[in-house]
Amino acid sequence: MNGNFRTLKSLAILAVLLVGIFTVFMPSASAGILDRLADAYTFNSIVKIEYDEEVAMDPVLPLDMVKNIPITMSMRVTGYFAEELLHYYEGINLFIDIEVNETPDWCTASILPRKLIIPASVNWSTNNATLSMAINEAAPAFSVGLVKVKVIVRGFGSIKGGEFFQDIRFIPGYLPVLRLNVSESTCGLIGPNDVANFDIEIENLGNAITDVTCRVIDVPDGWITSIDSNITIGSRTRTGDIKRTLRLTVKPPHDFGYHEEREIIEVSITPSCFGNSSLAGEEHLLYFVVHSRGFYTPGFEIVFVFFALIGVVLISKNRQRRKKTCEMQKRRGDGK
Amino acid sequence: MNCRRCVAVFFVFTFLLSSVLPNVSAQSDGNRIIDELLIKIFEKTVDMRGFVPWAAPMIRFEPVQFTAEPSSIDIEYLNQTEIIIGMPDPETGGYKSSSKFKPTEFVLAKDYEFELIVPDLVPEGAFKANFDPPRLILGEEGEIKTKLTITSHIPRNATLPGAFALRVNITEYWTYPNLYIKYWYWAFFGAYEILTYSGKRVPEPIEIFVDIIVRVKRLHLVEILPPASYVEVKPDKLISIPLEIRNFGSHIDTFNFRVKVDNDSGLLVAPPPAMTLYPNEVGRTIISVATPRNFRDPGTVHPIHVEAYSIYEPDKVFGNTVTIVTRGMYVSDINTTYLTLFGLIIILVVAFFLYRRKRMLGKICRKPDKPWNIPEEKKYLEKLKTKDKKKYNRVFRLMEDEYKSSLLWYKFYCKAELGKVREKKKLTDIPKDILRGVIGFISRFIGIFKRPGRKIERPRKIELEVLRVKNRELVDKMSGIDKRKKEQVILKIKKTQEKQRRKYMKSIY
Repeated sequence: MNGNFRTLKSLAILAVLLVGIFTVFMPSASAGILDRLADAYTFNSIVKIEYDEEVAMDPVLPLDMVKNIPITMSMRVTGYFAEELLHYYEGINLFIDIEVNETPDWCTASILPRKLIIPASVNWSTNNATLSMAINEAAPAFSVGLVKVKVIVRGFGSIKGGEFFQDIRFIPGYLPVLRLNVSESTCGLIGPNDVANFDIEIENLGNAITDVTCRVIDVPDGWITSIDSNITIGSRTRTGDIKRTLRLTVKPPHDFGYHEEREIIEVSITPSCFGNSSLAGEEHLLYFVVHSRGFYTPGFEIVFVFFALIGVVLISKNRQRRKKTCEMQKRRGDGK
Repeated sequence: MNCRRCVAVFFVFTFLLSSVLPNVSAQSDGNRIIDELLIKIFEKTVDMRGFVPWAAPMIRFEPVQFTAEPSSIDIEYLNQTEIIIGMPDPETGGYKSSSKFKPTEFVLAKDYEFELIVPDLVPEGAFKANFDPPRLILGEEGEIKTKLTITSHIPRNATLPGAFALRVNITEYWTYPNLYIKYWYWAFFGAYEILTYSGKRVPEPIEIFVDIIVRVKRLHLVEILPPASYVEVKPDKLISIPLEIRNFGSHIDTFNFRVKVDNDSGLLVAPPPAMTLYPNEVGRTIISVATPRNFRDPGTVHPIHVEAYSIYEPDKVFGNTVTIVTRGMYVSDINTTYLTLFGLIIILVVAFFLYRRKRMLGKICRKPDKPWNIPEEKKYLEKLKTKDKKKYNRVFRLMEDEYKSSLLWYKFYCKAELGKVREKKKLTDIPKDILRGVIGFISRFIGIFKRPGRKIERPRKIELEVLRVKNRELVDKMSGIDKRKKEQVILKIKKTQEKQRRKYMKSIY
């Protein structure tokens, strides 16, 4: 009886010691023995989010384009006994939720499919998703936009889940938009010696600093036109004044003689990206009617007028003198 | 003794364990005893669901996954877009078969309902969604998919963002059998709530949705509003006609303009300048017209067809017609100027000839004076006027008759004299004469500019002498006039005087 009791006692001590040893020497320090054992059997999931940078960095045209960026989700499982124990889960699949976490105000983005299934493996397993995005005109051109993608891995057994984030960088493209205002009339009646001035106010509604190229198309023979050929206007998304005023000056022919000419002056205004003239917008056309009417004299005719006046004065004086002479003669004749 | 042995074995075992336990090294090489022990423990306990934390979960639901094909769409005003919403099957690349679903003891049936969620920034009623079928019941024949048709009815005054996301919410419903019969004992495990689902169709609390990126396709639509009525203009005028332009399109748009007019109309029309408008914005612009130079226009109607097109789609043209009516007279300024100049020259020439004639007549004969203006006669008439009114009248009338007859004589005489002069002068002499006159006029004009000091003044006496000689010559010429003609004229005058006298006498008696 005593012998059995002793054996039981020693076995109990041995068990306590074994448990104590396990508790002390298990890989992580948590409360219970089962937890410690579970920690030894813990597998961590690692997710790698990759995207096609070449596609992403190709500028996205605001308003006119929906960009689809392929995303590759790679996943693997790690742990002390990952290789040895993972197969006991009988080739389970892990479920991944993907969502767009953050976007700029001027960007709309979504990701599909929103759920992915990846087999649990110690080697990298991949699956694909696509991020679709569109941007509006408020996107500053050639700045770097960020879309944050969030991946949630659902845990399974000893495989721990987790949240993973990835910034997807992209570049908004250039959208040239100009608003033209011709403050006054588009027609002018002038003399052949005058010039017609038309003020054109240009407002840049685009998303980048814009170079504006102006030219007069098919200037009529004998007419002279002048306009600033190139100006730079700031942008709302960047710095600088977004409004500039151009002046179109038209001078009609001024040969000697009477003029009765009227012509249409056509002006073309084309926006392009500052520093990159290959990114140009469409041509904006403006038309002005100029009517030149009147007699053109070179200016020295005033000399003739001056001489004519002198002549008139002299003639009248001469007449007066003659009259006086005649009167004097008459008086003399009467005296005789 | 046994106890000592046990203690010795324990210590040895402890030391052995301490040397092989995995906390010392980061990685297990798999050959150690403890590793094998742990693997064995895992192997034996992995199925102990609910007892060990590493065991596989008892129930695991595969996530319900839906996709949209296409995932991004272009939407136009008043059009229809079709999207397939379905459950993809990675094995086949298509959609999962609905018939694969088998009812279980716990779930009798599963079905899905769909709903399109439109963001707040899109006006209400802009998109109408139709799901075909509207409800997907698993277990039936076919694939797990539905066709979403989006019909856009974007109001005219609505403004849409360039891009946004439409969300399709999918609700999964489970229909439960009578759970009370089979799972009554669940109530003891605190899962009484599940039993309340018994025989009901309950929506699953899982959030399933699909986002579809919508890009509103550029719709270019512009309305040109001309003035309410036609515009009446005079010929050769330059006017500006106001126009209203409204962008009914989907985006901020820039429009270029052009005009079409009849080539023979003579109108010169400048189209409105390029205009940029936000959606539903109304802009005001002008069209400048120079009317034709018609001498007399009773009222011609000129239709001007104004066309607008977006710079992004020049082929799509929108137009309207502005009507102008030209009415009135037009005299060219240059013609008026030249006519005035011509008229002035004619007047000058006529004045010159009249002046010359007057001078010539003055040389030939002096115009008779009015008798009542001769001082003696004037005094006599004044006296008569106060004394005898009748006599005054009679005498005055006689004077008038006398004056008339003398005028007649003067005219006849001058005519006769001028005729003689013309006969004497050859035709070839006339231009010379005019030339001489012009030269004389110019030399006189130039003479004005000569300085008085330099002027060689002839003695006034000699000048007067010359004048006298000239006068005498003139008198001689006059005396040399044909007497016969003179007598004839005098005879004529006398006859007329006699006639008048007779008339007068008759009137008295």
